Amino acid sequence: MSCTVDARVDLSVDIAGVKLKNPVMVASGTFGFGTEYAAYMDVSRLGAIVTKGLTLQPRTGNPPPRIWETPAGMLNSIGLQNPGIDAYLEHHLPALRAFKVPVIANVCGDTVKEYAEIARRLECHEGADAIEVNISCPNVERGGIAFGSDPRSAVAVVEAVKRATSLPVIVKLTPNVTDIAEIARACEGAGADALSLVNTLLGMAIDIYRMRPALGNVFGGLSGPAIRPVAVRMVWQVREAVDLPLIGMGGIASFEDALEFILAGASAVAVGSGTFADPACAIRVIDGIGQYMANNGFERVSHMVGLAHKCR
Amino acid sequence: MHLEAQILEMHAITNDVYSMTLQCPGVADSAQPGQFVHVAVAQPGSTDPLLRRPLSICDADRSKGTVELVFRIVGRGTRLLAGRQASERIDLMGPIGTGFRRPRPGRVPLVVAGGIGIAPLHFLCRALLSVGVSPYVIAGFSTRSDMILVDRLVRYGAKVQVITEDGSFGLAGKVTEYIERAAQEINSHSHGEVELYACGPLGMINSVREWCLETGVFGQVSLESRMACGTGACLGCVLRVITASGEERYERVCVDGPVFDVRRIVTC
Repeated sequence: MSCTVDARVDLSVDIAGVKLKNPVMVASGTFGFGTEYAAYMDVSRLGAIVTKGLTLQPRTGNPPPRIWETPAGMLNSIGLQNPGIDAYLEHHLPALRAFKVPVIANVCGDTVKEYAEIARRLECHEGADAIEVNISCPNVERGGIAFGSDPRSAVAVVEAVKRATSLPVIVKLTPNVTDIAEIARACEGAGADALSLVNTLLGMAIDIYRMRPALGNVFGGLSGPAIRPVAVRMVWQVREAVDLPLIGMGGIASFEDALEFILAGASAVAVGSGTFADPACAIRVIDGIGQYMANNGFERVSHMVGLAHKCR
Repeated sequence: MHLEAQILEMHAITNDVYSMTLQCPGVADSAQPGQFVHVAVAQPGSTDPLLRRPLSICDADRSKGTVELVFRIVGRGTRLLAGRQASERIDLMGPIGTGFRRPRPGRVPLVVAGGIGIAPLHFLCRALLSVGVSPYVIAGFSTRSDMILVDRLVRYGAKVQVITEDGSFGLAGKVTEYIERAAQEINSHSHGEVELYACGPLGMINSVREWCLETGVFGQVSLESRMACGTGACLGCVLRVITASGEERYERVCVDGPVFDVRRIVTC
């Protein structure tokens, strides 16, 4: 399928040195390792693929049920089920590379050391073009509070990962904090090359017929269009707090949604659970952004990034 | 594949079970018994409800290029689906999943259906009959007015025994109380060894599993789960299984299933 967009429109963006042919990625955890969706869409058209979250050792994940639908959204509690970094490098990376799309490896750990070790192995085996550090994981050494909700823990992880690799380091921020701008500034100070936001919002649901929590893990992460206004607000706040490139996500299901994030300050966007509703969602978003740019006289995506801050 | 199909026919079979026939030759050509399609239930352009609904393929006609889905209204998504009309178009992905394996030569398929679970088994029975294998079906329903697809199976030549919980039709009780009897009947008539196929509520699946483990009969069960992607990417629909080496792990109902070897299920 080819784009019918005006030739003067240039959709390419540069995120911390990673060159993307368009600003639309697929978010971690919603796209597996890329091959799962190959029968349903042209994966090679994506701006980048962010992998399922990887840990040092394989993880079995949380007990089911893991999915619960909510108004215009869903809760999930997958629990980081993944084959581990070594199996990723050996079994999943070759097929992922065959799409010829930049690969961003999402990584999680229980300790600062684990994050650094995964980053080291990724660089050593050319396992990614950039690393997205998921700091929503509980910090086992500090009583299980998420790395991303404590600026000191966030700084420790980012510094350790930066020391372990020369790959660009993107830090994925959790929205489950009082002041996301404070965490964003701490990550910038620790040497992060870019930020992605937001991860899922912590939530829960009750199954009234079974009279117990709907999810096996009790709590889960809320995603989908229901959270979009929260995510756009946070991108806006973080844009005002730091100078790093931002990757915006949270309920994007159309090009209009993506443009909200871009105009609020995101240099790129990621489609997450929107892909579940429509496997071709990211492709529609790419084409729609191109058409919008042509219609509104924008030659480059960067000309739109954060524009809403200047226009209020 | 991901496509839009036209609804050719839409009708209620009982007060909460619907039949939807779609024109989609691609799916009809490749669909195997036990597979499903992942159907968008929101209006086009709407993201509420966000997720698709996995629906068993009840029948596929390659010559006409049609696929029939039979589903029960269990919540908001299926209620929206039941409101769709003939001539409208519907967005679907599929066929998806690992379906039923054919029985080994000489084996007699014993098909155990519970309620709406008869839908994928209907497709299985038709496929078996088309290659000259006669299934013995025991189909349980809560009451006579919930009975579906039995008349069609009988017409195609399947032997069907109906069991209703209230005794309003056929034998009275639960379908699982009649598995042993059906197996014995098969043995006395055909001397063939039984292979079991089942789909139904979790309680029924658990009883079927126990019976298979006790008797050593090879069984395949079709399971359902709350599902997001339908492609194997999200790991949302997993089921705990035990591997041949005795190790436990989670497998995806969408692509590793929905049909599982009953010995591999830890517990439902």
